[in-house]
Amino acid sequence: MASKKNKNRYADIVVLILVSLCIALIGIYQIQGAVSVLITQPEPTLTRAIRPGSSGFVPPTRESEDFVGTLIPIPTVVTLTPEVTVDPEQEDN
Amino acid sequence: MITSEQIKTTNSAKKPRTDVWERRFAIGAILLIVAAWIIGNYAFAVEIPSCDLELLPGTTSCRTIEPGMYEGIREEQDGSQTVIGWERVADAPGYAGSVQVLVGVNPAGQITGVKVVNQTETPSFYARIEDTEFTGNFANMVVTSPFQIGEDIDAVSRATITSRAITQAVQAASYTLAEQRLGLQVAREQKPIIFGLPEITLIALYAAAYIGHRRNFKHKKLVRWATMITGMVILGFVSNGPLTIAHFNSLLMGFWPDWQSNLYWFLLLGGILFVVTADNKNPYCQWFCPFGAAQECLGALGRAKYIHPQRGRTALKWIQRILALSAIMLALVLRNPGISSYEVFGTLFAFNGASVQWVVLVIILLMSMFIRRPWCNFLCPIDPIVDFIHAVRRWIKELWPVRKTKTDMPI
Repeated sequence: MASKKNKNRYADIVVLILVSLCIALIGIYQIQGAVSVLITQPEPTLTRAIRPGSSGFVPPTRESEDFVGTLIPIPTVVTLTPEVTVDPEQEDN
Repeated sequence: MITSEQIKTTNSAKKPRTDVWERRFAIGAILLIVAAWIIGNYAFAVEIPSCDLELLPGTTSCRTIEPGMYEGIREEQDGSQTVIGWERVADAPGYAGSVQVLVGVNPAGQITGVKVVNQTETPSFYARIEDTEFTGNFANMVVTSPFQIGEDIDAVSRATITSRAITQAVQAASYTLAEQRLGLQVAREQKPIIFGLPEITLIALYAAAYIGHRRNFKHKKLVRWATMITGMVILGFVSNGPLTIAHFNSLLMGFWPDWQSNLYWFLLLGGILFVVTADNKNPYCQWFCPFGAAQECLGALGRAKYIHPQRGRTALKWIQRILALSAIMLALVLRNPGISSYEVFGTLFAFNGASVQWVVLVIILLMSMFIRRPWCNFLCPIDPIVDFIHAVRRWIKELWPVRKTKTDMPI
């Protein structure tokens, strides 16, 4: 009877040691994770979080509702492909 | 005549001391979670990424058209400016939060580059995306392509959900640029509903667990083993979809994926929350948790016994709860659902994990041969969450007593 009690006590001690080891490792893992995020985080900002989940991501703004009108026109030559440049004057002709 | 005051006094006198502490802890946990959510929401907010010149080769500067949309410009020697292309930010829900990409498109309607600018995926799984240079697959694709996994894009093995999230975000950004900058018409197809083997298996397992739970059911043991093995094989090794704390973190943060592609997510989390809350039962842990099943299989080999140290029993229970609470708080503060997910499920079922997780997995599997379900009893964060729901439910029932029915009896 006594030996069974001792056996149970040893089993308890072994379980406690192993579980404590696992808890310590999990603690290390969580700290590692937190540190890695904090290191890669550029700077904590006080802007409101942008709610993800929407495929368009950016919520429509007053400007974006009619964004074409808000564009600043560029008095320049527009490249249709990276190599070929089309002159607007030639196009008119 | 017994007054209501006397009844209250008698009830509070009978209330066990641990129950009082559990309630204090529950209130404290709620307050801490709310505080963590507020801190995370304001201190670690996601900013709209700025233009990246590398995505549009030849660009010398960028102009913001609207938040998240940029125009890449090349300054010519004569002072004129040439539009090289446009960039657009978009996001899509991934495995453990949102995946945000920046997509570059040239005037010819081709994708010049894709960059993941924000993501909160499990690091070991996201590493696969980086290793395979998945974003490189989109280069030179036409902006009006279908962008469908399995059609024109191949998913990265063991990182399918992340691959799909990136693809969906690229599709959203490309289609927006196609319509708004290139004046193209894009036929937006409805997202296909993904309903396959894992979803069917999950529903079948819920049904089997529901039937098996019934007291007068004769083949309880047989059905339980069948559900456990099925859960381990299909939900574990085939789809690597066990319930983790990252699911609850995503739920609390509002990172809800789209239901069409992630029906499994909703079935798993919603089903468990519904059954635990409404029926006070936990069909998942004992009946088809893949990791629980793996432990029981090993336990059957080693004839494992239920061992719970008498001395440190209470302390271990509280440590398990504190671990779960700290994991939730960490995720909420850092706005990253997967960062604190310390489970070793992915390590076993997808052979993927940090070195610390591998060590914990080996210890747990060895322990499982002699001790019944050591992970579930001492470390799993799901158990304290279920306990919390049970405790709150019990508390509410005490405050608003209702007629007791058979189904209210805990299992």
